Amino acid sequence: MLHQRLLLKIQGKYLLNKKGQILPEAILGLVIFFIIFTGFINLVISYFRQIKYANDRIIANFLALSALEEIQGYKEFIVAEKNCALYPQNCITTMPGIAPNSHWAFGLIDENNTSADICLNYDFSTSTCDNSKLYLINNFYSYDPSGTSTIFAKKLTLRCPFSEICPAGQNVPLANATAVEAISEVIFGDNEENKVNLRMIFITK
Amino acid sequence: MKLKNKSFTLEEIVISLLVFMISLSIIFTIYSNLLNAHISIQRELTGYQNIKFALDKIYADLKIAQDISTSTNKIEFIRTSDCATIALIYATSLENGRGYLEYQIKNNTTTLTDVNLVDIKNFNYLIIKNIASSTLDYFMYSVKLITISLNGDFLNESNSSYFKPFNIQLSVFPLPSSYNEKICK
Repeated sequence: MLHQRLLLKIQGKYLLNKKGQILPEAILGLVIFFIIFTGFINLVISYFRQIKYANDRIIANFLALSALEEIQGYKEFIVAEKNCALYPQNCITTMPGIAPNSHWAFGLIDENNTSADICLNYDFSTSTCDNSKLYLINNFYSYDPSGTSTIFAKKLTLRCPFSEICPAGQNVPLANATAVEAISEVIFGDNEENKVNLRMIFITK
Repeated sequence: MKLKNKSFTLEEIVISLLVFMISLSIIFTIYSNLLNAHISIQRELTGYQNIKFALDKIYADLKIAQDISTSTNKIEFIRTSDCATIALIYATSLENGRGYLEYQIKNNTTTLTDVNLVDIKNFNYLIIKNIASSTLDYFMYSVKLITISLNGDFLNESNSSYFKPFNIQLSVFPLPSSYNEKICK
């Protein structure tokens, strides 16, 4: 009987407790809520960021591929222009300054360069690679800074890493190398790690 | 001690219901916005995949193309793998005015891009070639580089006010352009 009365007394004390939450409880509750909420928000932000990254990467991939196509096209363009220099009667116009014995990357690299960074436009105009950012002009990506700024920067590096063609220490100029490696790099966004790298080896002769 | 049999007062019930309704509407708004953003971003991703598919197809064919010629909104060439004449045409839908790419092979036409996903507003191209007589070897006057630029919006059918602009570009050096003679006579 006494035990039952005591139990009722304790239960009553709890049920009739008019006290609210104490400060540490409220803070702890809020902290737990914010940890879960922050985690959820981060998850959502990360999801959207990943999708945006994937989309930007598609454009960057095409730009990097285009840079490799541009250098191949340029090389073949020079081959025909050299022929025009040899037989001027065959051609309506000829590239200024080109000679039949000009090297394969005439107008792009100096004859003595053993490696080179190239910023070549889709119309075969060139730009210095001091600013390799791309701008939109008439819906084309170009190095011309008068266009609308984009998140993309494009650079093509030419080098000759082949020991048979360009032996180490001999500094064989790219102009004389029979094969070179082209590395196309497109960086997108503010993060330098967001980039696409494509490599290709091609015969220059 | 006598325990009181307390119940909630009207004010308590009204306030608790109010708090519940406010919380529920906030959660629902957040969920609805997230869902809409998710759908839009998924549509954008699908749109990019659609454009990527089209450009991959164009790249594969142009890489082995000869006799590339252009006219307004049209690029025509011969695919050297089977000597088929292929035309890439930019057209607009009569239904909703949206732009899309058409692929024509041996007079059979198919669409490369989906007007429900992508509205191509501009189809630009530029070809670079040596200015020489066409009586010479093929490499002397062939197209050395063709650049295609697609510009427009990704669409979300469930949200007509949603437009996500895109600008994508592809350059191709056609391999047969370096040959002395044409593959397809």
